[in-house]
Amino acid sequence: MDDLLKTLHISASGMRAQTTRMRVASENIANADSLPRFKGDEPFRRKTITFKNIYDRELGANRVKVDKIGVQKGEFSKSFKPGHPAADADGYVQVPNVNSLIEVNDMREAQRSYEANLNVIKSSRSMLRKTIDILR
Amino acid sequence: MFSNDVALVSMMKKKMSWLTQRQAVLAQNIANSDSPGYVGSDLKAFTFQNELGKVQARIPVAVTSGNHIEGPRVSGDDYETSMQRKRYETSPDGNGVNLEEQLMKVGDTEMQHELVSQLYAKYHNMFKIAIGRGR
Repeated sequence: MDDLLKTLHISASGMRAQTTRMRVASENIANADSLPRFKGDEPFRRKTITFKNIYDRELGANRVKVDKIGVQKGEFSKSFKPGHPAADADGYVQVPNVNSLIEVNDMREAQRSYEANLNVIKSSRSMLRKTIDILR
Repeated sequence: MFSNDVALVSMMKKKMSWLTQRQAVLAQNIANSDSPGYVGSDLKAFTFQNELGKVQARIPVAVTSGNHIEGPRVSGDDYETSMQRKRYETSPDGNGVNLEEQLMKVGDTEMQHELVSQLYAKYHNMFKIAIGRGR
């Protein structure tokens, strides 16, 4: 396959990975207040995403793939809500371990990486076009 | 005939394929800019001296009959890639790709590509003039 066309595929795989990351971040933000329903249940656990690069034999290049979407382990913090159905004996409810600042930063980073990939596509496209322009 | 006989044009052809290959390598780096442990790579610099040496050193054996065995492969297709030793920074997860650096390189590649393609067009035009169909 031509290298420039290859470029488009590689960048597209990068963009796909970043959109998945965006999705995970938005899930986390949307569920930042998902408290447990009953006593003893756990609230929403923050999801994490990791990437890895794989060698695509067909393409002959390193693409990106979403490695796995896991959860962030650790203690939940507690908030005082005596009237809540999931409150413990002292009136505390476990709240999700989502930090919206981290999520927003993650989203911003995903956006920047997406733009970078988009720019590579634009640049490759213009290179292709200029090559074709030789024919004129 | 045109691209093989004229040294200048064959040089341009090589530069062009070097540039497209570099673009693919840079795209890989950028796509993997968030993969843990990924260290970017780049092509070896394209220098006039190196390429000129290659042109003179390699004279492929002609295959004039079906029974002939092809000589050693002239691999002009792929240029060597090397891991990036000097990096701007390495993030805590071991990723050594810096987007700014890579995009600078993409811009540079694009510019050089335009230069070569315009040079080629110009040269082509000169040939057209010579055969009486110029302008």
